Amino acid sequence: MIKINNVSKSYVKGKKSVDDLSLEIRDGEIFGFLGPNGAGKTTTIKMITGILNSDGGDITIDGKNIKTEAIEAKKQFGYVPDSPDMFLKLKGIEYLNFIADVYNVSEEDRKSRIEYLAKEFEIYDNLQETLQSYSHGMRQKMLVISVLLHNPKNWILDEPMTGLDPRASFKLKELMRKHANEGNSVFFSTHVLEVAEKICDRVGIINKGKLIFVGTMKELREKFADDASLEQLFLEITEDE
Amino acid sequence: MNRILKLTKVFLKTSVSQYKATSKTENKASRKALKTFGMVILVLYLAGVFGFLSYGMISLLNDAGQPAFFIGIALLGLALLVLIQTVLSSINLFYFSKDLEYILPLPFKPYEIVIAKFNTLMVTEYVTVLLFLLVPFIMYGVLTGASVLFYVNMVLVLLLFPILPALIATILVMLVMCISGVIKNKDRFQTIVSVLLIGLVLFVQMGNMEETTDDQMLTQLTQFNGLVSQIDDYFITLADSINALTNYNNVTGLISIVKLLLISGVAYAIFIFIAQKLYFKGAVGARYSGKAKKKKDNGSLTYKKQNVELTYVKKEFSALFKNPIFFTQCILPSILMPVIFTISAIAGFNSGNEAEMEGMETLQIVNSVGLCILIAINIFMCSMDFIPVTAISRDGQNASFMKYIPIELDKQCTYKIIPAVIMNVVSTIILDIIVLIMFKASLLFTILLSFISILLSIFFSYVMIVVDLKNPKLKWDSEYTVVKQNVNMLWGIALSVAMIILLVIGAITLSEIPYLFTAIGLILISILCIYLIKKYISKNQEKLFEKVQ
Repeated sequence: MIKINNVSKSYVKGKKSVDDLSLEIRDGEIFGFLGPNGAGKTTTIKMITGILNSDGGDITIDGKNIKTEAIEAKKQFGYVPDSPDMFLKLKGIEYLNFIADVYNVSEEDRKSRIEYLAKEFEIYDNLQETLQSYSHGMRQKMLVISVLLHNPKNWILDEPMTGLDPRASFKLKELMRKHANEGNSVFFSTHVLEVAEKICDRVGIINKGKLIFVGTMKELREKFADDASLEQLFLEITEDE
Repeated sequence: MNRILKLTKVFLKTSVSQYKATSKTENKASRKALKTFGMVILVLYLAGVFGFLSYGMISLLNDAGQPAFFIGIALLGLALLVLIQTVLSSINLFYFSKDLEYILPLPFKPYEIVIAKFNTLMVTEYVTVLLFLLVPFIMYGVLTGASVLFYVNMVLVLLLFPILPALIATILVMLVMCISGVIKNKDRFQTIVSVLLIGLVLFVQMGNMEETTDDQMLTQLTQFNGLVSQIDDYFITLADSINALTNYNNVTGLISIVKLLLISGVAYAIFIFIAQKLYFKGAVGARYSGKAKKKKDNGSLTYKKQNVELTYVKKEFSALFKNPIFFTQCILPSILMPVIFTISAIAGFNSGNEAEMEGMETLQIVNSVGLCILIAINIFMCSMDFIPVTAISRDGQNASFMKYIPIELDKQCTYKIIPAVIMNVVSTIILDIIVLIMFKASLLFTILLSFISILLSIFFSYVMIVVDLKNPKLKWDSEYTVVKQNVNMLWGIALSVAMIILLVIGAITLSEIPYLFTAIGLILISILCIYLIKKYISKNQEKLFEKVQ
């Protein structure tokens, strides 16, 4: 479970990029975080993961505060950043072993998980190649595998579908649902409204740093124009602000 | 012309502007002013150090009646520096920078891209020139009572002289890169090319030195033109540059400037002609390296568990060794320095001058003064090591990885400096073995010397990682910008010079004390320094990592 209480962040004095945000991502749910470019999605995710310090408020992951119990909190989640261009000089297998060592994954577990996930994402045959030679989509798959490798309870994914081919995208969505059904939480940001509609139990919409809606897609439709398309709804909500 | 200038500006901006603060929060004018003030102080401090060193050298040569020798040595050093720097920089700038794939589809003429790229390269060279030679040359002018014409010629020479070596090195690189189309592993190829070209440059220089015996050297010192004519075989602009700065008051100086201008101009024109033919052959596709055509056998996949410290340090080493730019800029200098030192020492041994060798052996270095001076040499070599000062910046945008993995930030700092310390240990040991053999120093003395040097290199590395954290360079297109256009390096030079000055003062004050006491004192001070800097990092880790986002 991820709890965000009254969190704010300003890069420039007097202009809040995230403004008094409170949110709870419950166990057993997939939560989609939506918003236009520059709305504060990535800033929020960076605060949850400890990359950015919030100016005020609290964030806890499974009860561990990201500021005061940083190391314990960081053990509770796996994070896929928005750019997959990481450690490009390492071979796929070297990168996965490195991550497994960082999260103290046993040899048996890492072997079975790497083999299973790499085959599922159709990347097993490329594990001996350097990440530099991978395509954008393959690197994205690698990041996803590295997060699933240590089997964290909470998944935090920043635009995880970007660059994935339809099959891999489907696979990831399937894994997200399975993970949530096992009583874990999945928090992810996306621009693709259809994805949010299809797999999210709840969504949050952020615009200009403020959370303007939290609820199910059904509630969203009830609250705003019922007959409008999702795209129209989104435009309407974010324009009004 | 306008298009070339605009393109140059873009190339420069994509590389140099990355130096701007990476933190979005940092917009306070007062902080910026403070930063600028800090930079000015740093530059003045370095200028003071170079000025002081030049003052000593020029005064010495002045007493020998050969002040002009200083100009020759300085320009020769500059030519060597420009050659090596251009070999390393031009590969990255011309072939491995990201901007190329955005520029190539635009309607620029080939010569416009070539000139703009070369201009960008020259800006870096001129910064080096300004940093290393401006103050020494002004000092020369002042000490020799030169007229205003000297300063006019000085500006012209400093502008024109680096052009030829830079052109030669760039053409060499282009020639080699032309055949790179058939090379599969371009990273490895680039590393090998850089090492070979630097080796070639050094070989030519050393060959030049070996031909000169001590007696000849003395003669050349007194017959200044002898050396110039010998070196002039390699750089045809050297003699004219020296002449322009020594005979500035008469017409030969003016003729030399005109010759310099003509030679550089013709060389530039030839370069553009050749470069247009060579550059684009090698440039296209150079960045796309290592794409494996055949799928590799996965039977050998290993899933071995290692402790996190070891795996982290291995990852750091891997990034340093597998990346050609980081290898040539971070690893190579720390290997090269002791190698050059060793070759020079061996050449000294082989010179056959027994009296001189005996002199070396009887030279009393096994004392406090000797210990301090040798440690100072080790610290100087430490300052050539760019591993710690780029430890964070090398990760670029990936550096935020450090913040979301469950490992304490201060521990990660330690893991990141371990490669630097290991490289320093290697160079320290090589140097100290030479000391042991050459000066017949006792084993205890050598061990103490190594131990103190290693302790100080740990301290130095910690300070440098703090410097990098305070001003990280995370948004870069090419690794080139991290290592070549990184002002943080100056702090390393500043710190090493400060440490060397303290050691020299220490050496003078402690000259009467047995070296064992001095060594114990230095060990205690080094341990205290390491403790304090570690404590500082550990206490301020959140704040120090603020800019890593």
